[in-house]
Amino acid sequence: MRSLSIAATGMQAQQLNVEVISNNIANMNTTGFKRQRAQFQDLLYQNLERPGASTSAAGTNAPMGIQVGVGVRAGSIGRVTEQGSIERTDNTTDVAISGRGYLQVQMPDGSTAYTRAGNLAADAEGRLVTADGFPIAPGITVPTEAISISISRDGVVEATVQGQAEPQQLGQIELAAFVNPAGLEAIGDNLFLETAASGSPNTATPSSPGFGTLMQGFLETSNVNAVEEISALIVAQRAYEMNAKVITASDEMLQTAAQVR
Amino acid sequence: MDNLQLIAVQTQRVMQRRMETAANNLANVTTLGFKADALLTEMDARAPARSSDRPSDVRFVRDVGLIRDMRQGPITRTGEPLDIAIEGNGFLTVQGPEGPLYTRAGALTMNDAGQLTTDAGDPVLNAGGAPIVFDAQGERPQIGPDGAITIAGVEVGRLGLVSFANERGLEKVGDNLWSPKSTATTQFEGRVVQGALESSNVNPVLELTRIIEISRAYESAARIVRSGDDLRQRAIERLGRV
Repeated sequence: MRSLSIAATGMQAQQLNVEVISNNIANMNTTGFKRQRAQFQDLLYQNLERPGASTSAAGTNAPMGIQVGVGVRAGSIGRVTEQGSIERTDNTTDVAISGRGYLQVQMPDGSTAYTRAGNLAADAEGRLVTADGFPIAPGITVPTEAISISISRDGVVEATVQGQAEPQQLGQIELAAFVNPAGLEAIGDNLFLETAASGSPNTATPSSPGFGTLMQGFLETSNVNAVEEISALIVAQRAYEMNAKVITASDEMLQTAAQVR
Repeated sequence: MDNLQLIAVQTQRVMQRRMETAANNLANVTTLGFKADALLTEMDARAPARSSDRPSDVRFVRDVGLIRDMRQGPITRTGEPLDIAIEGNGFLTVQGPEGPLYTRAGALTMNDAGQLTTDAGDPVLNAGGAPIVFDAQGERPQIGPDGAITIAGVEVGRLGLVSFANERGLEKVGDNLWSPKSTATTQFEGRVVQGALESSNVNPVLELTRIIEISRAYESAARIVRSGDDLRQRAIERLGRV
């Protein structure tokens, strides 16, 4: 009874689907989080009767054969990189990216990671760092005597220092964009790494053509839509149940067969 | 065994196969670009069940082929530049191990050579039959309704999109791919939607009712076998008494 194992693959697939959805819901309030989706593929087909098989002695052929599929498997888990909504925080070191691009983050091992979570802060040495304390690249150091800092839409960071009329320019924030941002590898802590699927980064100052603008005092929320996720959860749960129904029905058929005599 | 039992057993065999087809449809209820199958059954004209007494038109049932439901699956928006849905008839051309294969699952990505691939990693071919290569540092590609790929306003290529004169002649080979067994490609008749994906066209309600129907038909076939057996047993008892 192949239908038993076919339905089992369906249940496994829906289980993965529920896992992905639950991770999305768990990260509904994570700054800069991009939701994921599970993508499935059908499994091999068994050709029980090939198209073109003869159907009579007169030489007629079956126009199409009989193929029985053997179920489904998880192909990949994709990321949906559409913009999350922008929320006002009034914190001067918070930046949201409106549009395309990622902030570059200097990792402790020297590599570069990318993030959309712009909840930055100055560390003990005055460097602008992410929530985990990794400095952004190119590095920006805020002098200790600064009263306030401003970040322009095109990424220029300036500080007003006590006793000076003119603001002091501290540096320039650069954004990195990718051909296929969905191909970036998530490493947790809102950070992403470049992969073959994402392409290599293309850096430019914010507000350049094709890049997003920076918004000081705002943060990008996750792009998880609660209603969408809950409805996806319902669909996944029902699909799971339906596959379980197939198992029950197949079981009943086997039972019938066993009770014939 | 006599006809009654043989016919019932053949019915059970066909029902089992129908069940497998329905199970595969339900397992793929969330598979991108999946098209539902249904088993086509008919009276077997070739091998009539032999019967010693009238009526003589007792026949076996048999499965002759698949009906493939090629209707459009629902299109959902994702906003990703490399997600492609095809509206209407048509397929994307994918490089297979032995010649081109076709797919409607348009969740595309890139490999390390910058080639546009399916999410399983098979290169997507352009209109000339060659893989599509992107500049890994380039701008976001725009894909038009006719499959033309433009980057920063310059056309850099065209997706290899085809339609088939006889879509039913296509054979599924798994991994969301189709093989053009006995049918020729024609001019693309559909429309490409960038930033969207086509879901499975399986109708779960229909499949569930089908499953109930199949298991009941299987049960009644089993009952026929049993009553045929009872009949024979009674005949042996009575004849034994004579």
